[in-house]
Amino acid sequence: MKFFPVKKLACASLVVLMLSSCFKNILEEKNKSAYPLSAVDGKALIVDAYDKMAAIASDRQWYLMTETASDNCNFIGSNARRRQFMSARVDPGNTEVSSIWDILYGGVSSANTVLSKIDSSFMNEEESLRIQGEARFLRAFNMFSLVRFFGDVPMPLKPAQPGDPINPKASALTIFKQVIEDLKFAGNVLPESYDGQSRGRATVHAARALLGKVFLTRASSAKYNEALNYGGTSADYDSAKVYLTKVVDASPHSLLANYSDNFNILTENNAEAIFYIKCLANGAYRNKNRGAADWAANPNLYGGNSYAQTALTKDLLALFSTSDSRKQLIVQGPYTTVQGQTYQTTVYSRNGNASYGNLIFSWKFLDSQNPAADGGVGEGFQLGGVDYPVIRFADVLLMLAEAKYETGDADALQVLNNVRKRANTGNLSGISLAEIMKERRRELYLEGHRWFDLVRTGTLKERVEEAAQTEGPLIHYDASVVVDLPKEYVFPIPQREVDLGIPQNQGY
Amino acid sequence: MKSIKRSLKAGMMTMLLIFLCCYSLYSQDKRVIKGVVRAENGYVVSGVTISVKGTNQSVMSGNDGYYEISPNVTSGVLLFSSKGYMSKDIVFDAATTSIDVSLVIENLELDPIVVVGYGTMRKSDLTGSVSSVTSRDLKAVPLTNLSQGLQGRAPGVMVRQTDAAPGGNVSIRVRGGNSITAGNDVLYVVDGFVGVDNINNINPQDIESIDILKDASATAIYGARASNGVVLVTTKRGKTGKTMVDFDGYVGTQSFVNRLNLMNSEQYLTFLKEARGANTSNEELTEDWRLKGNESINTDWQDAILRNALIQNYSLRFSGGTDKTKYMVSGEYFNQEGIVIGSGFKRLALRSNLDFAVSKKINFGLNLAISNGNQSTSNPLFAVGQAPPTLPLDYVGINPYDAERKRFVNPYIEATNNFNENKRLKLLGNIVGSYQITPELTWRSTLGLDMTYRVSNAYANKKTGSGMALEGGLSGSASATRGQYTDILNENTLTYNKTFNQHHLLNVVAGFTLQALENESLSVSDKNFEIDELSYYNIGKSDPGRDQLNAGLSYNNEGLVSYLGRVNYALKNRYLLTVSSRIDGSSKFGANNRYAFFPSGALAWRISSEPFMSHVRWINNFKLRTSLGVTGNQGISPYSKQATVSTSQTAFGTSYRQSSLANPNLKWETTRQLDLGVDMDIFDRTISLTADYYYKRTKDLLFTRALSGSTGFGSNLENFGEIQNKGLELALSYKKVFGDFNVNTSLNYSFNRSKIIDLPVDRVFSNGLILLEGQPVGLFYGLKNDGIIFPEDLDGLYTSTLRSQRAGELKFVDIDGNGILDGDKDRTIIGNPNPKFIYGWSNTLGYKNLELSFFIQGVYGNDIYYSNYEFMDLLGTRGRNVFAELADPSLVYPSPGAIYPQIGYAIEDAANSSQIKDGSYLRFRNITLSYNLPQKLISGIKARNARLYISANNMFTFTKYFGLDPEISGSGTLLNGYDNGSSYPASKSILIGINLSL
Repeated sequence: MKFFPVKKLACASLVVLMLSSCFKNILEEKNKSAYPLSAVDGKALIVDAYDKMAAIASDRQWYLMTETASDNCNFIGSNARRRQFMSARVDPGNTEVSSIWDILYGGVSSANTVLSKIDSSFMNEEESLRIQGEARFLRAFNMFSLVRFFGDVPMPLKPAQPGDPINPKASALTIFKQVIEDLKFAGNVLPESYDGQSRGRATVHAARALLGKVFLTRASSAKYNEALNYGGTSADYDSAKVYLTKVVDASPHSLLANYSDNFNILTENNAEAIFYIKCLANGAYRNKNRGAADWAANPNLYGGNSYAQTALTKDLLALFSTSDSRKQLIVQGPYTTVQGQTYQTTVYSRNGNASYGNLIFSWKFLDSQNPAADGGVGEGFQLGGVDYPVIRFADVLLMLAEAKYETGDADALQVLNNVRKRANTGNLSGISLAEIMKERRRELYLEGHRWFDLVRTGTLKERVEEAAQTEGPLIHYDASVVVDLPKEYVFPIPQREVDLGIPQNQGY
Repeated sequence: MKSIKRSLKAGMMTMLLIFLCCYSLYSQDKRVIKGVVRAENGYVVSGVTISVKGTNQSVMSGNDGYYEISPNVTSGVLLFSSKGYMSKDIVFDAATTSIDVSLVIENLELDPIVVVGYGTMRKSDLTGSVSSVTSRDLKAVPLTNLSQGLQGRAPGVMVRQTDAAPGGNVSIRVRGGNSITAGNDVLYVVDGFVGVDNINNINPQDIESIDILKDASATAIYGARASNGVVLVTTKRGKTGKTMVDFDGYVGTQSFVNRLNLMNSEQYLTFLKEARGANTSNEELTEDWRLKGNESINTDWQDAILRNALIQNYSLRFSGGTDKTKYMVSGEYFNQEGIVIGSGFKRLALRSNLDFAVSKKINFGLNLAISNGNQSTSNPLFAVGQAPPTLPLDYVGINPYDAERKRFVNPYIEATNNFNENKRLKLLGNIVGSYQITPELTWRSTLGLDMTYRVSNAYANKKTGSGMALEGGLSGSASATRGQYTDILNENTLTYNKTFNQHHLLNVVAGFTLQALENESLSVSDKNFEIDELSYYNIGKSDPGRDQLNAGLSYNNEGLVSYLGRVNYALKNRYLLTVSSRIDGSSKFGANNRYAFFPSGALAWRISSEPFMSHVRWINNFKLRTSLGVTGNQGISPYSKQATVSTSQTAFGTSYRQSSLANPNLKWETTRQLDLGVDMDIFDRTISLTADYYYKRTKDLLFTRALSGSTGFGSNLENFGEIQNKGLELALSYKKVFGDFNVNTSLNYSFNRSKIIDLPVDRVFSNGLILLEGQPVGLFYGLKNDGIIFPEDLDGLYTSTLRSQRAGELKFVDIDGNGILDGDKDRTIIGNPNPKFIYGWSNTLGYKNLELSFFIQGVYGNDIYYSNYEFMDLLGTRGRNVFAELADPSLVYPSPGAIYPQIGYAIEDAANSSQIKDGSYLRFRNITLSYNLPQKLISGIKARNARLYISANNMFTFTKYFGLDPEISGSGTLLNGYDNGSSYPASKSILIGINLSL
C-alpha cells in the first residue's frame, strides 16, 4: 500500500482520537444556570402553584368575569374586548377569556407537577403529605373556578407530556367529585397555620371553608338553576354546614371589629383572612394587586384623575343604608384625597369627549402605604400590596347562614346578623335567600363572588338587566346589544381551544 | 489612437504586475541564453521566473522583460512562469542563444478563484451556485460594515438593515426564508472559521472577497447550519514581494433621509379643540400654569433630536513577504456619529494575517483579528409623536393635554440624558497548519477561537422618564451587563488532488471537526441614587432603605461534532461532478435525533469545451449546472429540548417554575433543494450571464405547536409543517473598453415565491400576521377597509359589538355577508410583505483617470404594514401630536374625498387594510466620482496608486411609501415589512475619501 502513507495517517488518526476525547462532553448541554426539571422536587415546585394564582389579583380577567359581568359594575374604559363583559355575552375569540383559562389551568398544571414529584423528593412523611395537600387544595380551587366559569372542561390530573392527545372535556359532575375528593384529602393533611414567609399558604381551615363553598354551590345550583349539572342534592347543604361550622367553631378565625381592616395593608394576615392571594407592593409586577385595586372601580387617591376601567352600579350603591360602615369605602362624584386635594371622577367616553360623571368608585383595595407607582406625576397606577381575599370569615358566616336557612335551621338569621352587626347596619328580623344574597353583595363586592352567586341562584340574567335599567344610559352600554345570556350560564370555551379540538359550549 | 491603446495596456500591465517584485540577475557564465519576455499583447513582462527544467537553476526577467540565463546543460527545456500568465515550456539546444517569449495572460478576472467550503475552485469548475463579491466591488463604495457590501450585489440575496442606527443589525436572507421561527440568517465563515458571531466588528477594508454559497451542492458541506446559505469571507493576505502600504480614508457628513410631517402648534391646538368637542375650551387644554398664554411655543421635536452627523474611517495596511514568510497587518479606526443625538458607533480593528512555509511540505498560518466596537444607542423617536409642539424644549411633568394625566416623555431630554453603550471586544483567531504528506495528499488542521467580551452600560438620570424620582425622591436607574462568548473550533481535513491520465481530475476532501461554544453573562441593575454624576457606577450605591440591586448570572453552551467529505471529479474538463456531505451531531437536539446526515450531489457540463463547439467563437464559456441536496437549520436556542425550570421571587419566596415541556425528539429543519443553472460568457467575455432556478422544500419546521391551555403550557417546540420556496436569479454583466472609455455594468434580478405546504394549524398573530396553508409566509391579515362611513351608507350597514357604525368611522367589508362585522369571520388577507422581485444595478463608467460609478438597488411589489398609530390619535385624549395631513380638511371626514375618519373618533387599532401600504422602492444607494492621480504626479511620493473620490450614499429614493423609510424590517422572522413607526431614521451621507498605495 504505497499509495497511501499508512504510518503517517495512523499518527494523524491518533491525534484526532486524542482531540475527540478532549471534547468528550461537547454534545452535552450543561445545566449551570437553567435547572432541569429533574433537579427540582415538589417542595420547591409548590411555591409556583401558589404563584400561578397571583394573576387573579394582578391581572384583570378575574374582576371582569366575576364583577363586570355581574350587576355590580359598569365598564367605563374604551377597550372593546373588555367592554364585551358588560353585555355578559363574550366572543369566544376574546383573549380575556383565554387568559383566565391559562391562569387557572396553569395552577392545575403546577399542582399536578408537584404531585408527580413527591416520591423523588427528600421529605419526611408529614411534609410530603402536607405538600400533597397543598397541591390538591390548589388544584381543587382552580378546577372549581374553571367548572363554574366554563361548565364541562378538561380535567388533567397528571403533568402534560409532549405529544399527549388533547385532554377531553370532563363533565361538571365528575369535576365536582374530584374537587371534593381533593379538598377532603387536603382537609385531612393540611396544618392549622404556617409561620414566617409561608403564612398565607393553604390551611386545614381554608380547605374546609372551600369545601363548604363547593357543597353550597352544588346544592344551590341544583335547587335554583336547572341548567347547571353539578350533581348536587339537598344533602349538600348539610355537608356544607358540617365543614363551615368546623371553621366557625374550631378555628382561630373570627370577624374583625373593623370592616375596612380586611383591606388594610397594615392589618394583613388577620383573623378574618382564611385564604387570600398575597400581594406585594414592592415585588414583581405579577405579585401586585392590580385587578381589584386599580382597574376595578378605583378612584385615584393620590392625585390626578381615575384610571379605573370600571365603576360601581347605582343598583349596588342603593343597597347600602347610610349607617353601613362598608359604604365608607365607596365614593361618588368629586372626592378628596388623603392630601386634601379634590378631584373629579373623570372618565372619557369613547368619542373622547370629557364627561365629568357622577361615577361611583370604591377604594377598597387602595394601598395606603404605597403610593401610585408614578406618584405625583399622575399616571395613576395603583400597583398596591393589599392582599386579595379568596375566602374571608365573613364569607364563611354568610355561607353558613345560607346553608342553615336552606335546611330550616332556626339560627340562620342570627349568623347573618353577626355580619350585619359588624357593619353597623342593625339586625334583620326575617331571612330569605334574597336577603342573604343582598348581604353577600354588600359585604363582598369587588371580591370576586358576585357572578358565581348570581349563576348558582339562577338570577344572573334578571339582575344584570335590572341593574342596567337602574343605571340609565351607561357610558358604554350599547342598547343595540341584547343582554342575551346563554341558558347554561357559562362563558365560551376560548376559540383557541376550540380550534385545537375542544367542543364549544352550547349557545356560542 | 494607438498611443491611447498603448497607455491603457500599460495601465493594465501595471495592475497585473503590481504584486511582483523586480530582481535582475546577471550571469557571469560564457554560455548564455538571453531574450525578452513579453505578454501576448506585446508588452514586456518583468518578474517572470525562468528556470531550467530538471535543475534548480532559475533567474527572473527584469523591468524591461530582459533575461539572461546560463544553463548548466547543453540542451533541455526552459520553463517560463509567472503569476497571472500561463506557464510556457521552450526547448533549447546547444545552438540556442536567444529565446524571446510571448506569454498568454491568464485572466483571473474572467475565471476567478472562488472560495468554497473547505477549499477553493476555479469558477469554471464550479458545479454549485456561488455568487462572489470581490474586493474591487467592495472598494468602489465606502462601507461602514461588511453586510452593506452585499446589498444588491448578488441575485437572490436580500440584505435589509433591521436597525438603521450606527452599528445596527443587518439581516441577510438568501433565496427567501426557509424557516418560520428558527431563523433565516446566513452562516458566516471567516477565513475558515465557521459561525462567526457579530460580523460587523470586521474591518471591511480587510476583505479580499465574499462568496455566497446558495445551492445545496455548495452549502451541504456545512450541514446543519447551511440551509439559509453560507457567506464565506476571505481576508487579504500578504504576497511575495516588497512591502506594500495601503491607506484608505474617508470623512463625511450624514443627515436624515426623511422626517415625519407632524402638526405645528397652531394646527395642533385647532385639532385638539375639534377632537375634544366644542364643550372643551382651549383654556382647559392648557390649564398647566407653564402654558397659559404660551401658545406661541412651536417646538419641532424632530429638529431637537436630529443632527448632521460626522462619519470617518481610516485604515492602514502593510503587506508583503518572501517565499517563506508573508504578512498582512492592518489597523482601522471607524467613527460614525448617529443622526439622532446620543447615538453612534466606533470601531477599532486590528488584524494580522501571517503565513510561514516551514519547509516545502509544512506550512503554518495565523489569522488574528482584534476589534473593539462601541455602540451608543439612543432612539427617542417613539416619543416624538407623543410630544405636543406647544410644550417647550425643556418641559418636564405631566402632559397637560393627556386625559389620563400621564407623564410627558420629552424626546430631547430622553436623547440627552440617557446613556446607553454596548461595547464588544472581539477576538477572532485561527491557527492553520498543513502538511503535505505526498504531493497529492495534504493534511490540514486548524484551531480557532472566536471570542466576544460584551459590556453594556446604561444610566437614565433623574430627568428621564425611567430615571425620574418617585414620590420621596432619589432614583436614577442604572444597569450593566458583562458577557463572555467563546467559540472554539478545531477542524482537521485531508485533501487529495490528482490528475489521472490527463483527463481525470480528482479532488477529495474528508474532515472531522469539533466546535464548542459557551456564553455567560452577568447583569446587574440598581435604582435610587444620591447623585447622577456617577452614572452607571452608581450600581451598588443605592439608597439603603430602598435597595433595588438586582443581579443575574446566566450560562449556556452548544456543541457540534461533524464529519464531512467531498469529491470533485472532472472528466476532460467538460463533465464535472461534485458529491459532498456532512454528518452533524448537535447538543441542541434530542437524544433520539442527535446526529443527522446532509448529502448533496451536482453535475455540470461545460458545453463550450466540447470539440463540436470549438468553431462557435463568440461563445467563450457555456456551462449547464444542476444540483440536488439536503441541508439543515438548527437555529433555535440551546436547552430547547429540555424541560427547564426558571426561578423568580414571589410572595412565598423563591418559586421554581417549569417553563417548558421537554422534547427528546427535537431535530433539525431539513431543506431539500434543487438548482438548475447556466453560466455563459459571450463576445470575448464582454457579456456574462448567470441564471439559476431553484426549488426548495423545508420540512420538520421547528415550530411551537399550540397546546391546549389545559396542559399548563401555551405551546411546545416541535418539528412539523413544511414550506416551499422557489425562485429565479439572473445576473447579467457587460464590460467593454472603448479607447479611453470603459463601461462596466451589471444587473441582478431575482424573485422568490414562498408557500406554506403543510401547517397543521393556521396561525393568526395578534399583530396582524397570518400563516395559512397554500399561501406565502407572513401575510398580513385583518379587516378589509372600504373607506369611510358616510350617512348614506348607514342604511343596511353591518352591526358590530366591537366597532362603531357611526358616520365618520372607518368602513369595513362584511366579508361573510351575515350583516354582522365580527372579529373572526370578516378578516381576510390584506397584504403580502414578500417582494415580487428584488434587483440591483451597478455601473462603472471610466474615462482616462476619471471614474463614475453609481449603484441602484430596489425591491418591488411588497407591502408594509404601518402599525404605528401613535401619530393617529384622532381622539386627542392622549395629548399626542398627529400627522399634519389631518389639518387638511379635504382629507378628513366629512369631506367627500376623505381618507381619514372624523376627528374626535377613535382610530381603529385592529389590523385592517388601511394600514397596508406599498413598500416598493428604488434607491440610489451610492454614487461615487473618483479620480486616479496620474502616475507622473504620484511617482514623486513613490506611490503606486492614489485615488480621490467623492461619494454619496442613499442620495435619492423613489417610493410611494408614506412612512419614514420603505427599507424597513422588523427584527423577527415573521416581522418582515412591519413598520412600528419608531425605528431609527435612515440616513444619507456625502463622503470624500482617498485610497493611497505605496
